Amino acid sequence: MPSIENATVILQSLQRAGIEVVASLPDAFLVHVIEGLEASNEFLHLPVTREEEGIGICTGAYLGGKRCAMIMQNAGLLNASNALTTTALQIEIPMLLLVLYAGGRGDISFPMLGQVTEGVLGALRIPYYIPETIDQVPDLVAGAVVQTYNAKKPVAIVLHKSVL
Amino acid sequence: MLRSECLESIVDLFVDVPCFVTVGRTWTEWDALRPGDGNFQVKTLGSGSSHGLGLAMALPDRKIAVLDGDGAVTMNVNGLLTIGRLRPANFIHLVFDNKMYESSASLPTATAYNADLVKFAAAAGIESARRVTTVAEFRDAVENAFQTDGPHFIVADVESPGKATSPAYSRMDETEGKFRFIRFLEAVEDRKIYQDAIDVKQSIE
Repeated sequence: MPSIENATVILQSLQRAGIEVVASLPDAFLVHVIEGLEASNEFLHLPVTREEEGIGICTGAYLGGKRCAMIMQNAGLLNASNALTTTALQIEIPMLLLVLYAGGRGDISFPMLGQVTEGVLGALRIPYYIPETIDQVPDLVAGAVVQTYNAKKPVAIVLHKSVL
Repeated sequence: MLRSECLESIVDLFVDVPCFVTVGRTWTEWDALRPGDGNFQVKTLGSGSSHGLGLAMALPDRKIAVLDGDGAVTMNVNGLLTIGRLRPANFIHLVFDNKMYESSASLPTATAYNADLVKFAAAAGIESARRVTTVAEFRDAVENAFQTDGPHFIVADVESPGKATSPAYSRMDETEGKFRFIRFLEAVEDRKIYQDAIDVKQSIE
């Protein structure tokens, strides 16, 4: 089950990387991260109802000078694919995507979703990193945030449930 | 009434106001009436309200406007729920409801049948949601939106311009549009907004 300790590491990683605005949609494994975002004064937490909105919101907040992240399940990544393509990639908007890997290695939910996730990221040409352990998360988040600004496109961290 | 008449009636209110403008003829009409770097051309249908919400949250002391259509709003109708939840006071959403996908062969939208966007917005928690049917009412509603806390959701019932000639489309590279919009915000905010990768890297290390 997800732990508060690991959620705290993720939130501290975002804070260290200067992320100020986080759009989110819940997944059961993201619950502590989202509760932490809501409770924190360090982040402007914007809960959305469908992930494509989050890409638009991150775009608007980026234009206003904020460093942004979108937290979602991989089903949400698929929901967000058009906005990622026609806005974030087309216009070159940096944002960090934190994507829960449902149906991934060792998981028994959404097997088809798990199989297409990395292919979708590849087709979108979105660089992505998959930490093996929570210890790898802080450096991967920091590196991904630098890369999203350097490449001027979204960069994803894909999180196995075991990392939460 | 025509959308172009509505737009013409409010141009003078839009001094230093960032605008997210939906694709198609709304853009060409507004861009002709109020050319400038403060207009952001939305590329993902319906996403203008989300862009506007993000900027409104990033710049809470500045009024942010979205110029939208019924096709766009129905595409991202769930976005109204988020606006109704967060209720940014500086958010102004103008919807020109011509009951059709004007840029796509004028095929009818849901508002041509049984959907009422004002009731939808109100039910989503946007208390200042209203419909206007004359240019004078529209102008009054927009003036009020600039003077009072929102979020404001104003639906203007407009007719199709039919075969009337559209203003010329000023095509611009999307990334240039983005940079111009950020420079516009830097000018009106009188501070640096754009962060280069080196700024980001140095801030993290």
